[in-house]
Amino acid sequence: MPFKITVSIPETATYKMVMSGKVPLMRTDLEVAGQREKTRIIQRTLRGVDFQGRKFAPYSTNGPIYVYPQHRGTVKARRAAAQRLYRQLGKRGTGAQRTRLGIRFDSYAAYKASLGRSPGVVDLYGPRAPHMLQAIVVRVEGDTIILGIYGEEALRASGHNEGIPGRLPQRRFFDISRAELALIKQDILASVTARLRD
Amino acid sequence: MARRRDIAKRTDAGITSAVSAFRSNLEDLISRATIRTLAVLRRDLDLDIEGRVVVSASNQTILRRIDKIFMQQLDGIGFQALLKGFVTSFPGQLPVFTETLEFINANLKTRLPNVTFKTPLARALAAQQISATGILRRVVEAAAETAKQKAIFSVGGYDFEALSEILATQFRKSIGQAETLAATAMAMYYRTLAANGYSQIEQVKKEVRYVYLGPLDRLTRPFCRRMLRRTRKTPLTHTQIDKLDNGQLPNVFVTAGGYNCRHQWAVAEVGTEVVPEEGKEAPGILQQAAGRVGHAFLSAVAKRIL
Repeated sequence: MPFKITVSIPETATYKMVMSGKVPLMRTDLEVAGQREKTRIIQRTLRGVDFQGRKFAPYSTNGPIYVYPQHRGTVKARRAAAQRLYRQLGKRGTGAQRTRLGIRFDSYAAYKASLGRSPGVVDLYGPRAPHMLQAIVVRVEGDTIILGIYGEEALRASGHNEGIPGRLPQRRFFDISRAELALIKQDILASVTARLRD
Repeated sequence: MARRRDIAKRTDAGITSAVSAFRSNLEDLISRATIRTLAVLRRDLDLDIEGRVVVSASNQTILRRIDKIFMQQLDGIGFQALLKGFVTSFPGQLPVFTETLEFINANLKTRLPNVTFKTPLARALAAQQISATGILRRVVEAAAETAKQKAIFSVGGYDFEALSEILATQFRKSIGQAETLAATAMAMYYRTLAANGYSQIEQVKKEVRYVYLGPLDRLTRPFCRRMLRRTRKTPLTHTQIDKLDNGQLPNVFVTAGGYNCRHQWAVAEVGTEVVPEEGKEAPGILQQAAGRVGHAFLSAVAKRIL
């Protein structure tokens, strides 16, 4: 089941906004607006704020937690993978401790801090690719812009966006505020205006 | 609710993505193929009283075929099916292929006849799937080839147990590399989808500029750091991006920083940041929609606003 936001821009309303003459709305006007909204979603998520500009729920400070870079395989291979990650994360001030097959952190927040992100910023990114924010797809159908996350990444995105009681706090990154809707309208207007100018 | 329980279960199992699942399944297959290969070798190799591999022409012939024996065993237990299953999961990230093709068809002035056809995008993505399958297979074949070389040179020196250990270790070395390539292939698939959307804008707009987005942390490679810094000041055009070199893979517009890269190119956003009002927590659009919670459809609300 895809995970998506649909924004309908009625042609008649935009027509009125743009001008008093007869200027058709082109698909690319909506495509540009959709792509710019995708950029906004990614940028504000990287800043650690949701669609309303509120800070995401902080990472858990419960612990300890154990990170195992490799869950299966020989003991030697698993230890080597843990050692590689430990070297990358750095030792000083991270609170990281090597265990036999993994790395111990005081909490999930401490683990994320060891990755070297800005302190206190929850950006939903992990240490590996691919990521759900790479999977945002923008489509235009008629007068509707659709931003979606499809396939397996949709499941993860849904978990973060809605929260999982007892497991994952809600961090609503995939939504659109009134202010962003206004910006989408502006982008459409700017696109149409640029087209008229050319 | 069932979907969220699925997420929790899979997180517990350490399988949080298609790539992790691919790796887990690959490890399982390689373990089983290794056992089968060793069983074949034990049956066919001549060993002396002390269990050492005898120096003989027939043993050399068998050892020269270790890579083929291993690949046969691997294929026999579903390796090709695993590769195909992984790369065909890529379209799950798209609105179903047929849906996309139908949409494109619906937007053409003259509708195409109702036959199976492939758009340039579908061809490009299909080609990428085939490439990913081939590359992933070659990683394992390369490990098997190296195992063969080590086995050949070990004749007369090692007993069978030691030889088994060498082969098992060598076969397993392909898993980490295959996982990296699988992750890279999937990320590239997403960027190819995005690039398709961008190309439609570029056909109409004079100058589209892109910003490099993604995490900045200890794992970020130097190329990505430079791009994050550079495009924050001045977004780049597609032409400028095509001239870049990440030192790993060609076509930076699709490969970004290279293997396992977490970054992406996005249409530049200049001067339109949403600044939250101090102290205010206005309800979101979805919360305002009567009785509707969840990821969904703002069309009715958007129409009201507009």
